[in-house]
Amino acid sequence: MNRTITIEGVTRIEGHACITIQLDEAGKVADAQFHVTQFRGFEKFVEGRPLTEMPAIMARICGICPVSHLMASSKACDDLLAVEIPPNAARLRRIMNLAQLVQSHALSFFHLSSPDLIFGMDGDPAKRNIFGLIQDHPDFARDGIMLRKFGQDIIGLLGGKKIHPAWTVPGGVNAPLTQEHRDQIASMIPDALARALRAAEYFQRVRDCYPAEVDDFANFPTMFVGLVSADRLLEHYDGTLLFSDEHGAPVAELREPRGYASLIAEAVEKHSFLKSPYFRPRGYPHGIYRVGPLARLVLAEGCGTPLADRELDIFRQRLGRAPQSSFHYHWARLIEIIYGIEMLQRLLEHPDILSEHVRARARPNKLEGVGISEAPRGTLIHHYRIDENGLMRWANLIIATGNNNLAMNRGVLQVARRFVDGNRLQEGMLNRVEAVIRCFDPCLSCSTHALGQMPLRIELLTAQGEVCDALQRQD
Amino acid sequence: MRSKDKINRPIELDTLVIGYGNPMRGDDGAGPALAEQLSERLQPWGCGRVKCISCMQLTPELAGDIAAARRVVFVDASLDIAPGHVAIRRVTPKSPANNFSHHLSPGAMLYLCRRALNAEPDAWVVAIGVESMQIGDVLSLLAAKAVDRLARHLAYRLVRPRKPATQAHPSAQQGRRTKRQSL
Repeated sequence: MNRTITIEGVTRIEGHACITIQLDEAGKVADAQFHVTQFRGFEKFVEGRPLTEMPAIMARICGICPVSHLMASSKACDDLLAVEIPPNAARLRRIMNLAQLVQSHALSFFHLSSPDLIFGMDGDPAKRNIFGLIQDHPDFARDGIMLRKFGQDIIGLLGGKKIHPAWTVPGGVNAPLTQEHRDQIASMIPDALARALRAAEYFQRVRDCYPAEVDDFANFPTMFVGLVSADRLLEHYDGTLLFSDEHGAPVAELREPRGYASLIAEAVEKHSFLKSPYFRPRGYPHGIYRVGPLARLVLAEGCGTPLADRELDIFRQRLGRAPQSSFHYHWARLIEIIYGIEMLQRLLEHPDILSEHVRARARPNKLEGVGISEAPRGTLIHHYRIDENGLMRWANLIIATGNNNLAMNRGVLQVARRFVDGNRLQEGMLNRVEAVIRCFDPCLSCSTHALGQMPLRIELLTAQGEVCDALQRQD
Repeated sequence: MRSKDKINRPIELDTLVIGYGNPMRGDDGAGPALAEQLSERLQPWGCGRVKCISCMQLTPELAGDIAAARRVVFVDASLDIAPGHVAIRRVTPKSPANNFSHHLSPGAMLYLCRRALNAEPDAWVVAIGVESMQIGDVLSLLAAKAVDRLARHLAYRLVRPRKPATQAHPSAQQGRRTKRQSL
């Protein structure tokens, strides 16, 4: 009898999801799917609102990465106004975006994924969480807490609050950086950098303990997509959207954001509210690609900051230019934390960083605008159309997590085939199915524009599609 | 009262007030509203050793702020007490039974703070009785009044000059003890 396993809801991710694993007559995995089961529909209900409200409304998509939506939305609005924002406004936006990168990566690595690495994939589930870490590894847990606090504090200092700051606006930002806040942020950098380097050093010690996971955690060739700077270095705020093949060789690039639809198309699957973008020239589903920290490191020639570049050299010596296993997202995330902190320091030292010219004002000058930036988990696109009065007529959002949807689904199938035995179901098997999703650090609230917590359900289905076993976890 | 502080973390604050809840879910925003009102009330007094934080949820990184305080007050909305009423209770570190997702209880925050940062401030939970947590960004009348009353009371408690015990009337002393116990 064929059966299906359902994991509901997936734990230690951001949002609601469910995984189903279909077994064949012999109890082997025949198919697996990752379902995102929440929906809010921001694209629809913003219609009719003035474009000036867009950054503040779009930031409400998510309580985890509101800053990413602020950036992409503000850039789309800049395009609608047809303004070039003051250089210092761009610097300040970059600072906030990097702070977001650091705090989000710290949450993903320390709080959500590291319990698997420290206690093992088959470790006691009661311990595999941040409280288990605190119990047994308080120093390590402290580094995670303080790195996240570092990023959140910077966002709070710039935006007035840590969640949903209304500081980034169409045309720039609404207040300059004060000397006091610059000094305060600068004073936090040495401590944050030390913690980030300690985490990277720790990861060097554990990364070789998981050869099976490296082999089968979404380890297959895909394209990579992400922003790079004009000199092809790591970039998160603005630049060229680069598409590479599975070896990291560029196959296409997008300098003008409004042309994104010529390279990216979106498919919809019946089993999920999460859309499945793909590289249009290769078609669906062959145009599968990955975004996020691993993709960005594949695409960039270098980081452009000394300590991150040193770490990237080690990364490439060990893994080559285009590692295919998604297990390596963890390492890439740590390198980006180091980069983020170094780049923050560089931006704070810019001679014009206290300049008060931080906003360009204009009325709407175009009826269509697109903003592309890099969220911590990958490329984020906001595309708006307005009427002559500046009211929203239409919106389309392509979210980082959606960009990874095809890869996550294939990863779930791969890891389930390797680790799940339907005849002898064990918790550690199912944890690996969840852990492959955690590598991508999906934010399901963003990807379906829904408010989320994190329960996951795994269902075991018969060949006839009936649920014969289920494992459900609540947050 | 603090446990032995192995990492010698300096106490930077006398009082940390954390108001939490979702301001877009009606009265659930009572906690953040209280933190914001209190912050405004304290501003003219220059209370540098009092800090107010307004947030949606209690998240692990708040442990860093909590560890720097001598006393922490968590303010949340509650449907379990009569609308407009306020209940105050002491809270102690408590290991959470469930897996961590993103948000923690005050007891779990204190546990995290004690384990990771070796700090254990005095802690209180102030629950504001509310009547509705439906979608909307406006507090109900009862919740708004309770927030206003509580903000005034806390501001008074936090900024009033401390008089030597010998100068105070015995009945006033008694009254102050009672209030202090309730806060």
